[in-house]
Amino acid sequence: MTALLSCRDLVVEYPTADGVLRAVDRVSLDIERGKTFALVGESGCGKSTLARAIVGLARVASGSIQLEGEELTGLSQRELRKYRPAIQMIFQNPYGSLNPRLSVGRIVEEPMMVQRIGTPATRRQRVLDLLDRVGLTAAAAAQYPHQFSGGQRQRVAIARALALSPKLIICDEPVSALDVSVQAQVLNLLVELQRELGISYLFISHDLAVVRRIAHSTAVMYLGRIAARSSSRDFWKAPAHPYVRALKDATPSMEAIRNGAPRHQILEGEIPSALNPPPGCRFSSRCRYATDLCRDVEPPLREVAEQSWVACHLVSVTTEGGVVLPKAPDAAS
Amino acid sequence: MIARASFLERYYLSRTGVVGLIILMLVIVMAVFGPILYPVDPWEMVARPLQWPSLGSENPLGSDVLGRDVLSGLVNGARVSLIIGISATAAAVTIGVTIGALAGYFRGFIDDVLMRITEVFQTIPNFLFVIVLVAVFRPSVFTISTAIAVVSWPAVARLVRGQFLTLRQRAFVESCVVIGMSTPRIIFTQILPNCMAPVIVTSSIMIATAILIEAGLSFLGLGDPNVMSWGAMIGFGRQSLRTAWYLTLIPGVAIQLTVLSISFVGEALNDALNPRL
Amino acid sequence: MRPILEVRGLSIEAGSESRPIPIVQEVSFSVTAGSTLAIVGESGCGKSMTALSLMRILPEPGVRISAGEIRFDDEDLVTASEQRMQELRGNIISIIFQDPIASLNPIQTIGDQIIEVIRTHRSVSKREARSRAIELLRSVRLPDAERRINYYAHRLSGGMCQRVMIAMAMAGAPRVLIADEPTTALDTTVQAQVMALLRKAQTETGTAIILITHNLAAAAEAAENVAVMYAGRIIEHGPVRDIFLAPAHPYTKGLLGAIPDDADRDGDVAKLTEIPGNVPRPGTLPEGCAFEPRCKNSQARCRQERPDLFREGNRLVACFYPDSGTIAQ
Repeated sequence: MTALLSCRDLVVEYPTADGVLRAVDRVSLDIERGKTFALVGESGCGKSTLARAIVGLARVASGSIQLEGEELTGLSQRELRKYRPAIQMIFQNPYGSLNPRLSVGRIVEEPMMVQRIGTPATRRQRVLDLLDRVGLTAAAAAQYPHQFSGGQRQRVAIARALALSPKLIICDEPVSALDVSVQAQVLNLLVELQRELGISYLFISHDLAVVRRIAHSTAVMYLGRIAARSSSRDFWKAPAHPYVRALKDATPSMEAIRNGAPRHQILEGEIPSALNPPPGCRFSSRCRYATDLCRDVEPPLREVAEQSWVACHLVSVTTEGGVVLPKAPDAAS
Repeated sequence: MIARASFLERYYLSRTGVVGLIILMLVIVMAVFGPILYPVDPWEMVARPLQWPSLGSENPLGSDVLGRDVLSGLVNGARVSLIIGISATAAAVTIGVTIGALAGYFRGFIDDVLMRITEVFQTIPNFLFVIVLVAVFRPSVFTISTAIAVVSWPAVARLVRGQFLTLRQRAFVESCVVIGMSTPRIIFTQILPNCMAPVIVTSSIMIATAILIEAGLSFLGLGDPNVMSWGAMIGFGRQSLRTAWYLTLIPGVAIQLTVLSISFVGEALNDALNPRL
Repeated sequence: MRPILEVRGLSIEAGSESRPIPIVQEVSFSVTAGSTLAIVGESGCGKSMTALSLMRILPEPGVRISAGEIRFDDEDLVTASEQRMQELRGNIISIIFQDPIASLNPIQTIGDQIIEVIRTHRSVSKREARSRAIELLRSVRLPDAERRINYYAHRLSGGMCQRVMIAMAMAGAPRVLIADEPTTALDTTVQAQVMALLRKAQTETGTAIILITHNLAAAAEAAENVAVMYAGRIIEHGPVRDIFLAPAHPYTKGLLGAIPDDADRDGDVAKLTEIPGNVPRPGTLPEGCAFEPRCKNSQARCRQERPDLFREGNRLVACFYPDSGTIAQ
């Protein structure tokens, strides 16, 4: 079965004062129908830029994005318009993503108005249906964004994203700005909607823990490249990529506390600038295991286990099929 | 969220704003109904010259050096001031919003070109430029209004451009791109309504400034010779300043009260439209 | 061990004197040398205001301490003079904030800012202060400290700015360090670095740390004790491991269940525990228990009476029907 959305060797660049910055450097991924693909990484990794390129907010320098086999790159804004209903987006900041001067009902109706779907009467009914679907009352339609909390505003944003019956919704850190208990509400809602409507999600997050609950397939990005990608739960319990492992260790986890896990080793250093990445592996400058090979040659994504791909020269597969990292040069790892 | 007080409620919180509004209403009423209720021709020489104001008499505010009725001048001058103030501001805002919106939304080359043009107009000293324009094109209410608009629009353009640069990057504008909204629609329905608050406040101040510029022109004798304006009255009263200073005081106070009341209203509008303290 | 800082019955209110709105009510906790207390809660629970009140830097006159004591050694900081507070601030009691880049003065070099802090509290020469500043920057592992001391804040990343903040906060060898959401604005790997740095500072100087955070897992990793706040009150208070492994208060339980964590999930995507409803706004609290409208276990008594903090085993809980089945007695 072909994927709903495929990216192949996607490159997205920004001009900056100090030169051209390659925010996304030859990234390929597939999003399946009705499933969630999570993209995780820290600042500067390119995850948000990739999302924006897919939805048409950022220009693609090279590579392809295909929606059900149809090529989206290279289309003008006008040509792109007919694909818009299929790919929608929910933004991170609940306080900036709704027009403060429009009523909630109007905000949710707007996509249908723009795409000239239905009549005012049928649209109004659909708005009420959508609000109900996301857990808001009909009275909300007449109110304004400032009257709602962050979590409720995200629900409005979700209702708006659903208005055109999209096949794919890009969720750009939709819960990062919300309190923990509200995060749970919104995440549960997204999962429910996926089950009911068969929508795919591209879920962007900086938090590995959040995505592990809702993603079928997860990729971690570092400086514009994918470091590891897997749809296997086991892989993420002990990720076999030095950076991904460090990222997981750095995320405070209740599981680790329950198991009385000892303090992990801290990853030192800062994320380098993406302007002049090293010729080899992007992570080599901070990696404990780095060898000359790592510094000179960029590691390709290799399938190291079932449904798991890792971009690292040093990861090996044991005879039992387990994936391991090499021992660190200074013994303790 | 705490329920926000309505715009009117917030406006009434400002006492100066309320006072300003009352005074402004009086000036407007005077301008609209005054000449109808008090149909004395301001140019006609109806009385003995230089008569002091005495409220019960035929000329309640006295007469000027040529025997013209001061009250009539006051009442008709209100019309002139307000017409010039409002029309100049309306023109300046229209030009400024258009240029600012285009520059702020499209950025890049269009922004550069438009901003260079704006700078040219901004760096010319306002009042002198108005004088030049009016002198070249013969003074009339129309040319005066136009000239004032020509020097006033850059401020609006800069303001709107700044607003557009910020708002354009907001997520709610991007979400409109994502649903396939066309650019003009985004500009008019999404961004423009969200930047009108500072424009409204600036407009109110601009009306006051326009009135002052007009008064200055008329004082110098460059105003429309066919209309009696407050500035002109002050100009006429200049020579008799020592003995008949009421000729300067009365229109002067009128200008001052009008400008002050507009400032108060502008400030109160600012607070009322921007409840995020 | 005697606590360094002991807060008793602290209450903070906002609004006018005639119609006050309580923000924090009757909060009590203490912290001993070399240990960390985490104050945990969601937005609007009053944890940040509590932190600010400890240094008497509440945004007055709108917000003020209305009752209670903050005992530091033998002094009550609530009634201490402003002059005395200035002696303490940045010196004996320090604070670091959430947004490190915004917390630094953009028009002064970081070196000048640290030197300023040092010289405010000690009379040393500029040269001595400068070498001490470099030492401090090295101790927070800021790479290339001698060069970077002349940098302006905008040239540094968020993580580096937070290190500078920690250096400034530790300049006076404080006995109490308040960290108000110190890592929220930072990348995950940088968060771990900063928390490790705070731990190191604590081990080296015996500073007590009060960590304000909404991240329960971070609190569990960093602190020995935790106080969970809801709607301006502490509703559960005790050793962090015990509380997080076996929460007694329904709110704490709900919070922990709402954390996406992989420990008990298998098969397909499972559901996170939701706490229905919203946090009540200050000034609109119900009679009785503030959490009652959202609580699964609520009974009639909860609506009529507000539960005080009761001792249950090794912790305090503000609930009439806590889940004591899980608590060790």
